[in-house]
Amino acid sequence: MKIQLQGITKAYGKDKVLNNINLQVKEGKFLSILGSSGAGKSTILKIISGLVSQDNGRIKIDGLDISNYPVEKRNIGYIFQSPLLFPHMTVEENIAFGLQVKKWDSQSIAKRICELVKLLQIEGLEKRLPSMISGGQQQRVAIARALAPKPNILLMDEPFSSLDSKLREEMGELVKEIQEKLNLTIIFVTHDKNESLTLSHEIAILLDGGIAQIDTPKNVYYKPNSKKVAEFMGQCSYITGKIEGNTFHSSIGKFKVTGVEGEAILFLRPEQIKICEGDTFKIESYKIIGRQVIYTIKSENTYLLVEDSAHDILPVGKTIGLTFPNKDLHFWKRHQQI
Amino acid sequence: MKKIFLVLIAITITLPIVFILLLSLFSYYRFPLLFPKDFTTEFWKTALLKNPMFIPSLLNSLILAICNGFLSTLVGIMTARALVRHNFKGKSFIKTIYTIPLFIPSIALFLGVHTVMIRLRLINSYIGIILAHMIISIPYAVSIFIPFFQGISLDIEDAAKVLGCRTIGLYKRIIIPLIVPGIFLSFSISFLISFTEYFSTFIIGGGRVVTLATLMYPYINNFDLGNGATLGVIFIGTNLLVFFIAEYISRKKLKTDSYLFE
Amino acid sequence: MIFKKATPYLLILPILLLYGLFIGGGLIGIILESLGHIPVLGLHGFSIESYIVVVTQKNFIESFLYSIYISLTVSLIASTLGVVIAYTFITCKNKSIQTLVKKTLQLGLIIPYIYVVFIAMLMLNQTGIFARLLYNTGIIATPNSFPELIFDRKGIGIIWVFVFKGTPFIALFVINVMARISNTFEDVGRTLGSGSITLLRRVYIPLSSNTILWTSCIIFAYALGSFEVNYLLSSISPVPISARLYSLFINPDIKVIPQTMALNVILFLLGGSIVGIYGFTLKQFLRRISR
Repeated sequence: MKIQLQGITKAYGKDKVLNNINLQVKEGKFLSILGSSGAGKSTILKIISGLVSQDNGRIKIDGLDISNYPVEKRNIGYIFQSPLLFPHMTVEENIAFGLQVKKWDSQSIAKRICELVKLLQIEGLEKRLPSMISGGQQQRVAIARALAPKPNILLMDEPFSSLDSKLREEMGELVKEIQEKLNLTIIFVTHDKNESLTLSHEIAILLDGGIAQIDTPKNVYYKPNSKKVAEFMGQCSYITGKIEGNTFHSSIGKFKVTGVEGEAILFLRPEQIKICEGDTFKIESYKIIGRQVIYTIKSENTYLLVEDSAHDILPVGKTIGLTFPNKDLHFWKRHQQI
Repeated sequence: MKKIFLVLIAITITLPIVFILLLSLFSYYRFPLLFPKDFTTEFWKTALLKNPMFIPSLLNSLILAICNGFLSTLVGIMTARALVRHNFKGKSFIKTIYTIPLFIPSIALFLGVHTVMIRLRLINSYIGIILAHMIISIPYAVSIFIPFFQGISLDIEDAAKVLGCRTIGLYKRIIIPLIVPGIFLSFSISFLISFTEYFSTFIIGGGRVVTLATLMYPYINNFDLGNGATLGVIFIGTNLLVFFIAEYISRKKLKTDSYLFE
Repeated sequence: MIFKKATPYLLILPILLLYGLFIGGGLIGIILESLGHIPVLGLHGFSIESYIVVVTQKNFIESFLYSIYISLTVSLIASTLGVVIAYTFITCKNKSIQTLVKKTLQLGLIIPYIYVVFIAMLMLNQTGIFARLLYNTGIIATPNSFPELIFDRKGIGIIWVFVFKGTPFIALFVINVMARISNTFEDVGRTLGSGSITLLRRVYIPLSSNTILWTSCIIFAYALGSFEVNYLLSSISPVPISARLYSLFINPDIKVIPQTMALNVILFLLGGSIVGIYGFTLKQFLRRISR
């Protein structure tokens, strides 16, 4: 179902954690909230679920205002950082917990458990206690338990942070698959950029207690609306210049554009610039990051970051040429940028 | 609702103590009167100055409680350590029996202990009483330390050993600092058990070793309001003072809020 | 290397010695004496006669049942109250009330039993504080119309003392465990749609059942076998078993010693078993209510 947050504010004492949060997730969409630790990401989920009450603002599910509902009436699924399975109950009993609370009859419960166990690929573990299964399996059970009462929305608070990277990817794929199969609405909190870029339909960047940008993963990454978002999502270069006619004039060259005239800044990610033969630019320094190398290239007073394969590293001081993309360029107005 | 209920509980416990305090300061308390009247310091003078047994009994109580606190804590640490870190024959036996003194009716337990004390000529001695108190304090001490030792991962100990820590150094620099909160807790509980224990102190002390708790018995048996109340206030006051000091130290050293049952 | 192997045995030596010598030795001692074997007094017999005397004595069964009734009532009231207080404490998010309650519970813990007897007399007497309150509010006309609550047949006074002492004991231990449960499982339970009663029943009680169980058993055993409360507040008839045992113990007639010890052995072993049965039943009960 569709969920809307309107003007959510929360402060702990003098410490303002959330400031006027507005966002909307359409039915069947996967939204990631991305922010550094301590940015108030978890607080948003806690407010949606009712575990924490907001100071101001409304929460609506399919238009129904649930702002003042108690937690147990909201029908929202919540996955926490650790699985938090009840240690005294078997896998099966854990999954059944939410259903028994809702007074389902035992036949429907058994049927539901059967479906979920299949969906999360944990067949055969039904009778085991949480202490007898692995961390990854525990998190699957936790997802099954949260999904069992057919929640309107599923909230996930860095659910894979306790897993190793391979398992993380696997779980990410599984969640994505389930989300599509069940047409679930998910709000997923993470501080891992790659995770949010691969999983979500939309990403909300949470900075300093406010939402800085909500957009598709591609746009958040390649078309950030501010320097803060741009830098939060990774390294980038800024090229200052001027748009006149249909051309952007800058110290590194001219670009054909369709944009509003005036002073502007061109924004580029390191992988958008390619190295070629030439002698216009000189390599200042480089940094190896895994299989990639990022060169810092200086041209007059502009620094450019360029990514290339680390397979064949060019020496510092070598002169090179650069090719820039010629479509879909992202500009900021000069005054907009700060 | 919840707040009212909790406050009522607090009042139920505190109210009698307020009355005791009043009764130690006022002498006239005939039937329909709700609060006693006629202020007097007589009861306090009697208790503190005129009663020759008061100072010795207070000292006895403190000595026994402190000794029991230390020794029970020590045995508790040793036993818990063995149960958590070592494998030995009879481990499961020790695991099942270490709490047993708490589940045997205490009069039956102590009359049995009494017969052994007679044979060992420990009747009327401090040592006898301390040993008797240890029997009912050690179960608590052991169960306090078990989770503490479970909480110290083997990795930490191995890291210390790799850095060249020998057994004594390991205890001094790693284990003891990590279980300090447990030591405070175990000491306080053992202190409390000894300080408030009446029956074993009485039969093993044989009336020779008088403590605050045994000193009170005749007053309570005769329901001597004023003197009984005064001794009670002194008893509770001493205990509170000891706990206050312990809590002060622990807060300063451990920076924890309240060590007792935290 | 040999030293290393010996370490655990050295560590458990003190507790083994203490328990072996005084509990084991004590049991053997009282069994021998109960059989009439007391060389110091020139008694060398070995017979179970004293057991027969004790068991067939008037009111023996009555005393025993009376004590079990007291222990059962005490431990059930104290455990229920203790758990309710603990859960209310955990779910009441008011810091200052929590501090207040914790301090008063600790206060309840440090008052000795013998002194709570004094408090019971002061409060529950026919001329006690409760009676005065009722008289002053006009609910009763004379002190005699206030029910006899101490030295009474129903053991109200004794029960009151044990509940007064037992409840803070159980509550404090259970609070300790429930605080940890609350930190971990409160949020999960609530997002799965359970209200506070369900949470208490399905999550808090099962996860703190061990603590509830053993604190409750301790209180049960203490009510069964403590001397001072049972003796000081006992009615003339029926007499709690521990008060009966003490009366025999202080009997100067040395011929009674075997009987005293026989009763002692019975209380030691039977009492211990009853505590065990109580614990087992309570465990089943706790398991059932958490389904």
